Amino acid sequence: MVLMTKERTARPSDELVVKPSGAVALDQRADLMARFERDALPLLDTIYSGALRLTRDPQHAEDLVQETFAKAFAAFASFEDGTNIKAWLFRIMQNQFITNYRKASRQPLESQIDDLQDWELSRLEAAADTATPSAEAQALQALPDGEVLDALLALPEEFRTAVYLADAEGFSYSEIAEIVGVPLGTVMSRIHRGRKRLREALREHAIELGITSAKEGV
Amino acid sequence: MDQHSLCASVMNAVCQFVDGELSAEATQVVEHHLAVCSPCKAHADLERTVKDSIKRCCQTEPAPDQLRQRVIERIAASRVEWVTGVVVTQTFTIEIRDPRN
Repeated sequence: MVLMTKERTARPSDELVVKPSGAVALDQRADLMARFERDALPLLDTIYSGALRLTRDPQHAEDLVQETFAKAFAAFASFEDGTNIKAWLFRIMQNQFITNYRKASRQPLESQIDDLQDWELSRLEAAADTATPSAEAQALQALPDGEVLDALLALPEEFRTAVYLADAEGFSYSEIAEIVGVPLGTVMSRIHRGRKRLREALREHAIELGITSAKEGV
Repeated sequence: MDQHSLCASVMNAVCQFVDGELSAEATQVVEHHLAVCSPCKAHADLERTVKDSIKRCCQTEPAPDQLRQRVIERIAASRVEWVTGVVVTQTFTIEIRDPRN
C-alpha cells in the first residue's frame, strides 16, 4: 500500500503506524472511488441534460448536478453493483429537485396536472381530431427541433418528466415509476396525457409557421 | 370482438405499444390489427412520430468543463475529509492514499 503524506515529508516509519483496520477501510474507500469514477462519472453529460430539462435553467441545472453527484457518492456504498446506475442517479436527482423546489417555494410540489379539468382534456382531444393523424405526423416532422423542445419544456413538471424519461432517455415504465416514486398506472397516464398536450401545443406552432396548412393542402 | 371495439382497445393501448410496454402476445394482436386498419395505423404512426420528435430534440448536452471540475473536486474533497478522519483517530498526521496505486 502506498501512502503519500501531505504537508510534510514522509518518514520511513509512517506506514507502520497505520493500523491494518485503517488500511482496509482506506482500500475499500479507494475501490469505491474507482468504481464511482468508472460507473457514475461517465453519466455526467446525461444527468446534466436531464437537469436542464427538469430545471429549465442552466445555473439551477449545474447546482442540481453537483448536489446529485455529491449525494450519489455519499450513498454509493449502498449502490448494488451491476444494477441500473443511470436510473439510480436519475432517482437521486429527482428527489433532490423536489427537495430544492419545496425549500424554494415552501410548498409541496403539488400537481399542476390534477388541476387540469376534464373539460380541458376533452377540448384537447376534440382539437386533436380536427386534422388527420398522417397530416399531423407530417407537420410534426417538419417542425424545427427547437420548437419541439420549447413545447416539451412548457409542459407541467409531472408530464415533462415522464415524457422525457420515456422518450429521450428510454426508461421503461417501471423504471420511471421508481425514479419519480409514483405507481405504474400514473406513469402511463402522465406519458399518454403529456404527449397529447405536446401534440396540441405543437399543432398551434405548426399552424403559426404555416406548416399544417401547407401539408394538408397536399 | 367487433371491429369498433377492437379499434377502441388498440387505441387505448397505442401509447404502451409504441413504448414497447405490451406483452408479446398483446403486441402481436396490435400489429395484426394495424396491418389491416389504416385509421388505427395512422394513429399509431402519429404516436411514434411524437415519441421520435421528442427524442430528436433532446440530444445529450455536454456538461460545461467547470461543472465537471467542480463535481470531481467535491467528491475528492469528501474523500480527503474521510481519510483525515480515520487517520486522526489513530493519532497520526494527514495522509492521502494515491488512487492510482
